[in-house]
Amino acid sequence: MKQNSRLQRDAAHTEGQSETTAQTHQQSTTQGAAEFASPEALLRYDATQTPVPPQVAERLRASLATEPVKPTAWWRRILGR
Amino acid sequence: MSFPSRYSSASPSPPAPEAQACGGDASFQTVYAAHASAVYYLALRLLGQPALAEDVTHDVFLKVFRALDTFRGDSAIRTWLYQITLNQCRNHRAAWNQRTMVTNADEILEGGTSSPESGPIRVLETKELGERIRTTLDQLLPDQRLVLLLAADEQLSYDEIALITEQSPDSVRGKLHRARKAFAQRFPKTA
Repeated sequence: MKQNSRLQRDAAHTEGQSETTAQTHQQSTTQGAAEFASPEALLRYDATQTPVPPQVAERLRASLATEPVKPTAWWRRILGR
Repeated sequence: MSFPSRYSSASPSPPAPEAQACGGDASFQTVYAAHASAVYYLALRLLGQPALAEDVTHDVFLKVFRALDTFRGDSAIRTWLYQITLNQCRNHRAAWNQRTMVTNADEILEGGTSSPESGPIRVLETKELGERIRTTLDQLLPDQRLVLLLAADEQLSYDEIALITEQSPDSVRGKLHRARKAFAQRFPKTA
């Protein structure tokens, strides 16, 4: 309940701030109270709680293992980089 | 394989052990460590299904691995990654819809019933807050949902969001304003 009202207040507050950059929205309160200054702050918190499943890296490793090795460009061989 | 210095300097520390599990060289692992979470989260909230988000994340970084040498650095790497992610999301959504339509048609022909999608993995993914956010995002217009998700990334400016979404910065601001308002109105008060 409190969280929602905070979001509504924040949305109303930002109505006149169309020039505000995305970087200015900060999570405003403690994790325990779970109050957020804006929907973006809420989403940022949600993102931190959403790790990439480890099987993605495992699948990627398997896929990369089958990728052909790219030949080094001639200019890289000459320049040594 | 090497990165333009501008991007390799974004994450100077060596890649985390979990990123090393993805394979590739150190440069690629650094990119994966720095951006995989953002790519996965965007895909998850756009597509709404963890399995699809995993597929998209895998495919995005496979493309990155293949195209890293051709990345010119005209934009920030996060911007480039998000552009690839959006393309992959569109492709996966189209393929998913096609498969679902075929499946439904088969079920109708066979007289079968669809099985419920719920299960332990689904429950683990849709924790209370995540589920409420997903439900709320689903109620927004697609453009609003995308702009809001991108604006939540503090690494992106309005200009970069405009570049990713192929619209003007003014349009981004307008949509973001409406998206904030719509999200706040629809976000459920209780779980």
